[in-house]
Amino acid sequence: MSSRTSDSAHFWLLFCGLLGGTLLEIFLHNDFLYQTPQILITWSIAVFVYFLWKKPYLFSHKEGPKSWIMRWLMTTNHRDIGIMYILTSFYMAFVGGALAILMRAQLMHPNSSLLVGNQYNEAVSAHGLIMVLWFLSPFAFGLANYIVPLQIGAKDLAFPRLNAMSFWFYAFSCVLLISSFFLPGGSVNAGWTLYAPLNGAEFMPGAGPTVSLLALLMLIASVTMTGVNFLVTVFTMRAPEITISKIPMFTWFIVFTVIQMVFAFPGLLAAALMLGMDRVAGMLFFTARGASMLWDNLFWYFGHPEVYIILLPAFGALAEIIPVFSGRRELYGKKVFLIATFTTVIPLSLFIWGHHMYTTILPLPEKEMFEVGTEAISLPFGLMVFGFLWTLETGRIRLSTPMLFALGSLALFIIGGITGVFLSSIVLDQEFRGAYFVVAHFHYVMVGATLFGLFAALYYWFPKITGKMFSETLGKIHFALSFLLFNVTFFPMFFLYQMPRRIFTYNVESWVLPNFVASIGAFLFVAVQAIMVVNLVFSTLYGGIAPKNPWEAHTSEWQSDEALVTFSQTSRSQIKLSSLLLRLIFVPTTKNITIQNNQEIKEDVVVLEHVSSKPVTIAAGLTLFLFGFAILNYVFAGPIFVLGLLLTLYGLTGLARESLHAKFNAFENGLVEAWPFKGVTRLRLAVWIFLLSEVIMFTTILTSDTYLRMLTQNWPAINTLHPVLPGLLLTIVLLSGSLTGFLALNSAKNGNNKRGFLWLLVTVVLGSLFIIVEGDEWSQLFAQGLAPFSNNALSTYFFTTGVHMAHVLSAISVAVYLLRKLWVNKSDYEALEAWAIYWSFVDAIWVILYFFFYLG
Amino acid sequence: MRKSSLALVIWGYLIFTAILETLLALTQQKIVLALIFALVVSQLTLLARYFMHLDSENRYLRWIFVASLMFALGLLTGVLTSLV
Repeated sequence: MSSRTSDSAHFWLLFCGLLGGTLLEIFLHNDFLYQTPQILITWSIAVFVYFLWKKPYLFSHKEGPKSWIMRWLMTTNHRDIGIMYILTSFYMAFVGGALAILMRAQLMHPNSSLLVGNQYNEAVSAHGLIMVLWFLSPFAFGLANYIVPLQIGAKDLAFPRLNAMSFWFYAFSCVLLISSFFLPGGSVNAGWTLYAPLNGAEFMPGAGPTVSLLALLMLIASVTMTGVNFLVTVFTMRAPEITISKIPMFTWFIVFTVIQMVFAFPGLLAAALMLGMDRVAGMLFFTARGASMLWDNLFWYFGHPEVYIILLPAFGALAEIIPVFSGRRELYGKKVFLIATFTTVIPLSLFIWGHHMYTTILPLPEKEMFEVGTEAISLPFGLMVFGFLWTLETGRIRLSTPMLFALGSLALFIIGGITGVFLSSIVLDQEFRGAYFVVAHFHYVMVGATLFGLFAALYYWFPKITGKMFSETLGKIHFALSFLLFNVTFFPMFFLYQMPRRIFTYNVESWVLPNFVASIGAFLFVAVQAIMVVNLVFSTLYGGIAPKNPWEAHTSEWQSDEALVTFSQTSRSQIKLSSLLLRLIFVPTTKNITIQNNQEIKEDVVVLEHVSSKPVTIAAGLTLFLFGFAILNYVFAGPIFVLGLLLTLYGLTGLARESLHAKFNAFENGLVEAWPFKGVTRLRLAVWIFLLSEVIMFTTILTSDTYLRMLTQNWPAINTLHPVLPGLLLTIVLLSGSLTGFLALNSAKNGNNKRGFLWLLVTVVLGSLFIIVEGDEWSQLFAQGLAPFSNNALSTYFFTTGVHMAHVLSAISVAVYLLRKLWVNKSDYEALEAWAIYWSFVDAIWVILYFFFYLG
Repeated sequence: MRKSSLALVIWGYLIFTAILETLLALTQQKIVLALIFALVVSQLTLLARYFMHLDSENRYLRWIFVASLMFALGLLTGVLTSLV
């Protein structure tokens, strides 16, 4: 059989097998909620594997690991990772979309019983979480991964392995989240906001919701790594031509998004950690009387900026696309656009979370402050819309598919934005809160403005990513139907302003027609997305070759013969991978790779490897570890937990080994434009940005501790629960570690590695002593029968000192790695300096904790 | 002053104040809480100086860090005010 016939036979065999299995599944069982993810998982894994098997080099380079699976598992190239982000996010959109279809099927007629009670609650909660956190942002960052380095002339992101780790953390968090449906308790069912006390073990029991929460933690870790990586890349790796004023709009908006992520997500991280401990260790953060307001505040501190985190990448894409298709070089009022976003949208978005809490017991003056802030944030968006409109007004418009989606996004954003102003009013919000008016509003912003904007971006950069042109006709049909059906789905919901959200059935005459129309619209809206999938897949396989710059754009990524963008497009490693298992265990070491550069072609230049199996290993290990942790009460949990732990440790030590023996080196840019951080190394900037997120996380934890303390009538007096003298000993030990750490750094700077080694060793000993003394205090409390769940004081103490101890342990681990380096006389001043900054931060946190728990 | 000498002086102050805070706290007088708090702030300021010392090359970084601390303080105040 010829290769082509064999391909076709394989395809039809797979297709018929899957179809048969699906039909069998549907006829044999009758539980839609649990069947849908199963069917989707099976189909999508099969299709993904088939594609990767048949077309390993479908989207990019011909070089790279020859084994199709290893080529994707080990890549650290920003373009590969971008593609993987986009595909995975689409997969999650299918899962979230399927849940939406089930919900709409249930609500299509009154008194339906397709999904009832908690089944509906699970569908609505998981749909919200998936679409907001697992689809829209990752989709945007898939595009950003691919495009941002090309736009600024960087060879890759600043930390390629960290980038791969971000992706794998995200991918495995998807696995954890979906697996929660099949565990006892099912997935989360308290709404995407996970309001307390519904989020606790009492109302949402079982391992399933805990696994969902752990998936959220993995996602936050991924987001934090992405945030650090993008900021460092944009601020230290721009080509000399890309000065601060020449950074393209899409890249600027990714920077703005990432700044918000760095500020907002640590708040959610702290809240999710506390909730996790409430569920697993019985702590009392959100179950204490009055503590549900704490969750509201913490969640919405993250939740409101999240709206802009989702929206801004789409706006960045619009700011590229609208001028290009209006025949203008750049957007009208570009500077005002940027200044308004940076000075108004970002700070304000972090301080108006209270408008989601108008119907709570928040005092009226504060509600008024939040109202003013919310209305104020609409002003910069008004300016932006004006900028877009004036660009259109003064340009010559070409209505290609990307432009149509961009215009659709703008139109839908205006409707979503204006209805948002309604909701910012305290009085109107009393009427609309918790009703379908809100559902309509946020879908106009999140699906309308954001998804249409990101589709515009996908069509716009599709020729760049695949080298092929898509069918304009199909693109335009896709737009027309999507725009029409989106409005058919969501506009009727404005008329349902009296229908409460999250109810699974109803029996009110006036709600019947809008619900019926919305459901029909939703089914068709989801169905017509197949047009895009077909268009893009077939165009990738059989489409015409795209010209170099099909849209006549002006940004760097389209000028592909310029030296500043060629490196990341052509450089690949060439290694042979014979065995999948062996490759996972034994890392490939130094191999030859050929770097081509259009300006200067160097043949057979030997450089170090640019692939690593460690990111995927660590992510897989951590997933097993967390999964095992969540199901500890069940059989097989122990081995899974231990295996996960071992795999994570193996991955981490492997990562250290790679760095120690220089088996992996990030690409070095030659000359770079790095204002305003000239002279600051990538690592140091990364540590500072990471510390910024740490500041927010610890502030959130300490805020929660303080609130619980205020709620508690009889907080233990000084020197009763926690003896002061051991506390003082801990303080002296840790602060002394800062001094010895500094002396180690100073010695290394002066070239005295031996002395540096000794001082660092003393620091590690002091850090370990701190852990031992702290551990001893914990064990004494346990011996007295005092546990984290005993009272509020102990919950806050165990949690906060536990998080701090984890930080000390991490710092010690890095110090051990640095000791190893100094031992072989390889001073790494840059890493030592970054570590010293981190260690001093850990000390500063302890100074506050000592005051809070021992002295205050 | 040499960097290592300055680090030693800062360390000495941090330890001294930690002991002083402990002794003051042991008096169990509410009035000394403010003084202890002031000492903690002075410790944090010196630790921040430590940071600057470690990273003295870029003033923008310092400002970003100071701004983030102020933001954190604002967040703490904001959330607590809305809760109480």
